[in-house]
Amino acid sequence: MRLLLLFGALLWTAGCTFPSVPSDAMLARAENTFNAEVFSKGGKAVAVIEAENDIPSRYDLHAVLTFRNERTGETFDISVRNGRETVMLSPGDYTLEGFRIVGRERGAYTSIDFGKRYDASFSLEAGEVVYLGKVKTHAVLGEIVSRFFDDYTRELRSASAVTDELKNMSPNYARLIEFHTGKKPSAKLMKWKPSPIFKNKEPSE
Amino acid sequence: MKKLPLLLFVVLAAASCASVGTSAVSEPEEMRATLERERMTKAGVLLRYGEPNAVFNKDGKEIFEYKYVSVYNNPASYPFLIGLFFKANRYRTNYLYVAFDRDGSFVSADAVGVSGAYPPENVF
Repeated sequence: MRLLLLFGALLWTAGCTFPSVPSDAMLARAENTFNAEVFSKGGKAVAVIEAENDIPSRYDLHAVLTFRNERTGETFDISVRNGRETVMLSPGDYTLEGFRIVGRERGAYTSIDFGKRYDASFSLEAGEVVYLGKVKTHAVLGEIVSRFFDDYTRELRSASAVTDELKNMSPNYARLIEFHTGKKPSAKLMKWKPSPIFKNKEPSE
Repeated sequence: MKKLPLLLFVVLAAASCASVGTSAVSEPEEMRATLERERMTKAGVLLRYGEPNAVFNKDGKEIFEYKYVSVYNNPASYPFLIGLFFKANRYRTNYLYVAFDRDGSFVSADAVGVSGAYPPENVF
């Protein structure tokens, strides 16, 4: 009984800092976090990606893009929490595996999973510092699906596209990248298009 | 008394680690010292450590990049209450770069190791 109590107490206190089981996603994040010393050795590239959305929500939603390295087959997430994320990657070709818009607040969790709705790809060369573009996701109102007098429910769709917003990047952020990498980011937008199987379902704007 | 080892086992089982890369690079300085001492050729390095994680050219030299990335539980976060002051996980990313000249002779070996509380801090 005492043992059970001790174990319960251990779990309770650990509740705040209970170690999460290390996963492949955590390894990828550790590896992809920029390190100036590793970058200076020459075998890596730096990629900047931005994302924004106007999906109506009670709390902030941010994009999580899952890419696959075509050479190694490994997948990793780029979580664009503050509208912009800079990662250090190995040179090679990358393709989009998944696209989600997620939000979390006080234990509540929202996720919009776009799955393979979009095809996207980019390639990197060693020593490059590139800007991959801004993934803009807009809510698009669809058809009214049900109506009860003046009260109706309307379908909500969304459309995502990649735009070049490098010119609008904060000069301080651009300088920060240049300070740590020795190079200014250059625009090399990823190729982004609706997946053929979902193309017919895209809303007309 | 017999239950104590069981409890210890449960606690130790919770201490997990995930890693990827060449295990020899878990001690990058040791590997670098070995390479510096033995000055192995490209073929020798391949034989002992296997295929590198990446190969690239820099300043006319061929560079083999070996990496070892690990994320593990921080034992400091286990103790009752005291553990609340520590991050639950730690990470380590080690790289070892071996440079060869055109005929595959050893030129230099360089180790880079980064570790800290997970998630790593991003300078950006």
